[in-house]
Amino acid sequence: MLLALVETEPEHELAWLWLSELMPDLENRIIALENALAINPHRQKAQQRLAQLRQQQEALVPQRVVTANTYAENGRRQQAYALLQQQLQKQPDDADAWFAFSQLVEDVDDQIAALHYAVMLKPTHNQAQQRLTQLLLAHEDLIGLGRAYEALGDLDNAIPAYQLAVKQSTTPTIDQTIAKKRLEAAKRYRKLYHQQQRKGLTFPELTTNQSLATGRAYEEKGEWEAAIIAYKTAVATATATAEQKIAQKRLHTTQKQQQLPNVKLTSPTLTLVRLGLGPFLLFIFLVLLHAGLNPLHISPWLALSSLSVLAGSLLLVLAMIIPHHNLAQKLLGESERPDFLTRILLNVLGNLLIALPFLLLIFNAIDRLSVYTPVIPIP
Amino acid sequence: MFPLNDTEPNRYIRFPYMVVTIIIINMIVMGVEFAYIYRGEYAFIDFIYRFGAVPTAILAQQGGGGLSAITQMFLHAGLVHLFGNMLGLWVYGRRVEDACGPWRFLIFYLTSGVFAEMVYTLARAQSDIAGIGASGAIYGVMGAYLILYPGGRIRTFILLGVVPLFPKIRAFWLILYFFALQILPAFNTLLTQERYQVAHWAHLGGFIGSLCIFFFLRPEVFHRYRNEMSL
Repeated sequence: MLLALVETEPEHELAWLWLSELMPDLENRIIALENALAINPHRQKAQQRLAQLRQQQEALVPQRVVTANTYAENGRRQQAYALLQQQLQKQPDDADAWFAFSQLVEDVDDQIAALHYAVMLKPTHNQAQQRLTQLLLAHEDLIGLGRAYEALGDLDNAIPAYQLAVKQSTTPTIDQTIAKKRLEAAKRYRKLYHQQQRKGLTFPELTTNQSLATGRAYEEKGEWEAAIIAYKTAVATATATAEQKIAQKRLHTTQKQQQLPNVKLTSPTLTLVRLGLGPFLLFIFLVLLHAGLNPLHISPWLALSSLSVLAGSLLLVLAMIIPHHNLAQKLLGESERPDFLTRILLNVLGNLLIALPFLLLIFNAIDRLSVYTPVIPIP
Repeated sequence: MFPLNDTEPNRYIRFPYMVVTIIIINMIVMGVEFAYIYRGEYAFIDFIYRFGAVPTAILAQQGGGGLSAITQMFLHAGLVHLFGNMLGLWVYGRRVEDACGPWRFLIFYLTSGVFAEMVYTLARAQSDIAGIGASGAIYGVMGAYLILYPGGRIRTFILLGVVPLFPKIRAFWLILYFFALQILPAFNTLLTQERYQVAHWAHLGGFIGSLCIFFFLRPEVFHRYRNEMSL
C-alpha cells in the first residue's frame, strides 16, 4: 500500500520514512530514506538512521557498487558506469563490482567477460554463475560454459559441455583442440577427485602424479597459491627425472602466472604508432632502393609522398582504435572504436593516401624500365 | 632436411588466405617464365634481368629500382627453387599470418623481402647478376616465426642414409640451423668475392628484417607478447 502511495505521491515524506523501515532489503531502505531526506533534508533522526544503514551496507559490499546499482535502477546508467569503472580501477578483484558491471554493458562478449571475472574471483557468487550460464548457452560458447562449470568445481556439468563443444567443431581449429584438451583434463580431475574421496587422501599424501593433477586443477581455477603448493609437493616427491622436470616447469609457469596482475597494458596510442609505422617502413625502403640507396638522390615528390603513406596508415589504424588523447577523442568520440560511418570514411581516405604514393613510385619505375636495356653478363 | 608442416593450430584465423594467395601468384609468375623460356633463351634472360634485382643497376638508378625489389620476389630460377621457397612460406607463414592478419602479413612479407634486397645490394654492390627468389622474404617470415613461436614444433623430413624420418623439431633449433648455414658462405662471399648461386646475404638480410614484425602484429598478439603470455 505504501509503495502504491509513493508511486502516486512521490513527495509523501512520511510514506518514504515508513518504507525505510519496512522494506525487506537494505538497499531499498537506504533509497527510501534518501528520498525522504531529499524532500526534507533537515530531519536529523532520518539522517542518523541513514548513516547507520550505510555503515551496515559498507560492511556487506563496497558502497560504490551499491550506489552504482541504485543509479542503474533509476536509469542513470552513465553515472553507474563511471562509478563502477572507478571501483574496478581501485579494486580489480571486487567480484560484486564485476557482476554489477556485467549488467551495465550492452555488448554480450563484454557481459560474458565481466561475469567470468566475477565467478573467477568469487566462485560462490550464484547470481553471476547463473547469468553467465544463461549467456553462454544463448551464445553457444560451450567451451566457456565448460570452463565456468569447472571454475565452480562442477565437473559433472563441465564434461558434457566440452563433449558438445568437440562435436560441434567439425574442422581442426584451435577451439576443437582446446575443447578436447579441456575434456581430457576435466575427466582426469573427476577421476582423481573420486579416487581421493574413496581413499580419503589428504593433500600432503598425494603421489607425484596426483600432486601434478591437483596442481593443474587449481591452476585451472586460478588458485595460484594452492597450485604452487601442489607443484612443490610434486617436485619434492618425484622420483623420475621426467616427472620432476614437468613439475618444475609447471611450478615456474604458475609462479609467473601469479605475477600477472602486474600485467603491462598496451596503450591505444602505442598501438596507433606501432601499426602506423608498418606501411611507412615498406615505402621508405622502396624509395631508398629507387634512389640507388643514396638518401640524397631521393626525389622531393617521393620524399613528400612518404608522409602521405604515414598519414594514410595512421588513419587506417584510427579506424580500428581511438587513442586516449583529447584531440582524438574530441574528433572521433570517447568509445573504443569510431562509429560505422567514420570507420568507412577513415578507411577510404587512409587507403587512398597509401595507394597514391605507391602508384607514383610504380609509374616512375615503369618509366625508367621503358628506357632500360639490361646488361647481361657473358658467362 | 625439409620442414614439412607446423604442427600447432591457428588462434585467430582458420585459413592462411594471404600465404596461399602469395603461393598462387608465385606459381602464375613461374608459368609466365615458362612462356618466356618457350619464346627463346634470350627472351627469358632479358625478362629475368629486367624484373630481377641487379645490384649494379639498382645503385646506378637504372631499371625498375624499388619496383624490381618487389618483382624479383616473385621470380624463381626453376621448379625446385619455387617448391623449396613456397614450402618454407607455407610452413612458417601460416602462423605468422595468423598473428598479423592477412593484409598486415602481406606488407610484412614485402617489407622483409625489400629489406633483404637492400642488404644484398649493399653486400654485393659489384655484382651484375640478377637476384631473384622469395627466399629473402621467407627468411624474414622464418625470423618472425622464431621471435613469436620459438617453442613451435615443426614436422621435418630427414633422410638418414636410406631411412626417412619425420620428427617434430622445435622451431628454435630448426630456424637457427638454417640461419647458421648462411653465415659462413655469406662472409666468404664478402671476403673472397666468390660467386654462389644462392643469395646468402639476402637470407641474412631477411632475418634482420624480421625484427620489423612488431610493426605488424595484431594488438592482442602484441599485448600477449609483451606480457610473455602464450601466443
